[in-house]
Amino acid sequence: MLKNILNKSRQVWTPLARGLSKTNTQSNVAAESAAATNITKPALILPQDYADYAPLNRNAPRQAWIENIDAVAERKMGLIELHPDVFAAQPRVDVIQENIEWQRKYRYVSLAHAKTRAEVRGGGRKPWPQKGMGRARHGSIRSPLFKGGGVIHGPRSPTTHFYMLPFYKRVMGLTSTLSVKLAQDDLHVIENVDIPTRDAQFIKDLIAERNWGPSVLIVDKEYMFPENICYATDDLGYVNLMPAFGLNVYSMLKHDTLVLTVDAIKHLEQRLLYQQHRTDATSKGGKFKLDQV
Amino acid sequence: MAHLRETSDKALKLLRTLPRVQIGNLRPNPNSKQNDKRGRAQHGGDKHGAGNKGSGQRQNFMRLGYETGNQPFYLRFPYEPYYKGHHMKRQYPPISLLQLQVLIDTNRIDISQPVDISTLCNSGLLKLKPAEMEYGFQLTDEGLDNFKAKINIEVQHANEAVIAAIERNGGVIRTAYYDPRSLHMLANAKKWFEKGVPIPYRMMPPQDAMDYYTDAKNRGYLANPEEISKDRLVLAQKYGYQLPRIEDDSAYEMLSATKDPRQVFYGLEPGWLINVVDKTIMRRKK
Amino acid sequence: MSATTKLLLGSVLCHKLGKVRLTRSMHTHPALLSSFRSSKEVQSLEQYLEVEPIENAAAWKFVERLLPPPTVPRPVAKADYPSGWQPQKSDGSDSSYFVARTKNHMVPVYLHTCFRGQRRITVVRRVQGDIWALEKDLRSVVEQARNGKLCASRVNELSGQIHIHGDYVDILREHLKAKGF
Repeated sequence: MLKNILNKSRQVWTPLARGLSKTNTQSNVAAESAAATNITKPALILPQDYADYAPLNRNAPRQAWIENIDAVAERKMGLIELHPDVFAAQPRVDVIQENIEWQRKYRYVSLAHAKTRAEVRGGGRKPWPQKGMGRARHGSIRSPLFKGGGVIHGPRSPTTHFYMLPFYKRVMGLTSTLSVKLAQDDLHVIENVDIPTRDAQFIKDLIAERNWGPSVLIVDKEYMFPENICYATDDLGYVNLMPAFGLNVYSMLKHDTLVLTVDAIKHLEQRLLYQQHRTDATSKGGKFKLDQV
Repeated sequence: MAHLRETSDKALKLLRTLPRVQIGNLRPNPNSKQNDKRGRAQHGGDKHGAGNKGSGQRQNFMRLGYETGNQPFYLRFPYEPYYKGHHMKRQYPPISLLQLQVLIDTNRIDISQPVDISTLCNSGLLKLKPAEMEYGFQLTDEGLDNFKAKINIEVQHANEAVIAAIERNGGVIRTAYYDPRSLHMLANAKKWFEKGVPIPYRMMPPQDAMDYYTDAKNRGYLANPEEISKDRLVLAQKYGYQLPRIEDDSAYEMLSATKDPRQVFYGLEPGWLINVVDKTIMRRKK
Repeated sequence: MSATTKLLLGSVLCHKLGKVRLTRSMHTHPALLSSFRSSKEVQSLEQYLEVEPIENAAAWKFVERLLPPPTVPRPVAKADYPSGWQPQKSDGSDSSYFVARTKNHMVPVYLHTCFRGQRRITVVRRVQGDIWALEKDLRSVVEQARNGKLCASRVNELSGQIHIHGDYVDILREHLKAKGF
């Protein structure tokens, strides 16, 4: 148990990666994965290149271990430095909530329907004469005052709840969620998605061994996943595959653990930082129009 | 800089001790949602903030300007058509010399090349809407004393002080007319190239703009170049500065770059077809 | 051969659609009137001009000049900036707080108005670090500008914003610039 917890706190809070010598890391990796037989590859040290996008955020850059996925036993393959504007952004939980609400609503069409007095069958005849009966005057038995009558201001089908969240709230939702996932140790980095077998038991063992949450979202840059991982996760409802372009706030929060490949991380960083720095950002600011290109 | 990681780092550290952020435990910020229902009956019925009777409750506001039977103010005087045809008049959204200098200082426009509408629009900070009768930019004189750049700029309207401010620094200014279609092309050239249409000719100015653009005082693009160079000297004497000789300047080629009156883009001739994907330019076989 | 028939078919369709445009169903013919289908059909090739790529590739530099940069360029270090703008000098190491520049390299001080311009609130955004210390500093600056009168302010620590009652945009921006932010 203790070992698991130690394993889980793999996120390093001090900026060490750049000072870390290569040989040192290699020996660390070798020591940790003594059980694993074939270690020929050098450790992956992926520092962040701040030349394109200087960090606006003064947080220390985040680092994460790159894990293997070719065996159940965990081996540290290297370190990746993460951009603080994407992975250490202010965790705006309120913006995450707005994103969740938007993702639920924008595609929801309410089919609830109630009939008005005109649509309810019958009721064309005056039920009793206007005067002389000692009863209240009425013109139709389908009036909303009657039992079985029409409904005023009832729900009308179809009612769309479509709206668009402002573009940069959507961007902020993604950066906030990634930051939250990383801060809560629910974000893991793997080098690729090549698993050795198409057996689902392998994935189950992997998840149990690494103490990943019950539900896992595996994200790669490419939308064509290798055959093995597709077969292995096909019958597991709680393990899902997703290309990086489909990553969204709802799916990230629906799954307990988010597993990103190195390619996916680089791709996401590049796309999100581009959105934060693009010159034509005003073109994204206007009101959403259905026929816009 | 450990002390700097206080706000967002504090929040991220706090999150490590809190339960996992999930769909089920999110809620909107307190009081951020407005309740669009109004209460009924004894508790919360009452007036719902609309006051007692009258316009507040019934929204039967009087029409604008109506004075309950008096001859309204707006009808007391004879009609004077100040704004007649205002929707047809050409608009020139202003940019000031200060704004231009900020664009140059923050590296948003490249002054080693001639500056025109497309340069300004490509910065992403200025916008031109030809569909709303905007016929280009006018350069205004705010920040005139602090303007220090040597540029070759083409705008659609400029006054004398602005022309002097630019020529004092050894720059060149020209005012030029563009028809709406050319403006549309210049406002987002990349998007227009992607249409795959040959570049058309630029139209000549309409009759009422002809005087402005043939006047050397306005540095009009249809004015006689000799008159312009004469007027540059006159203006230098009027404003009391030594006119720098652009012929001796190292950037003479840039400063002397001009467009043909029928040309929309610098260096690209009408009839050419730009392929942005293959990076080729097609033209009619000679 | 097949291409020709396709083209002919396309032209027939377009012709028909031109007549029955009003009764067209959006669901069965959704894209037929888009720019591709509604564009003019290809005529016989003799009718078209012969084209060639231009020889001097030098002309391409005029096209490149017209393509906007995808992201905001970094400012170039210069001896002086006549407009009064200046690059961020401080990285926050000499004070307990930090105000990040916007992506356009501007100081994030804004004026919010409401009630038809009657309420003016100066907003300082993108504050990192000890936001309360910055608020204290800014308040003293504003109170000095108000000849010692107190000023109202509020702090949103979560989103890193300070709101100060009244229009003090220029004063606060110059103050932050003087501090190197």
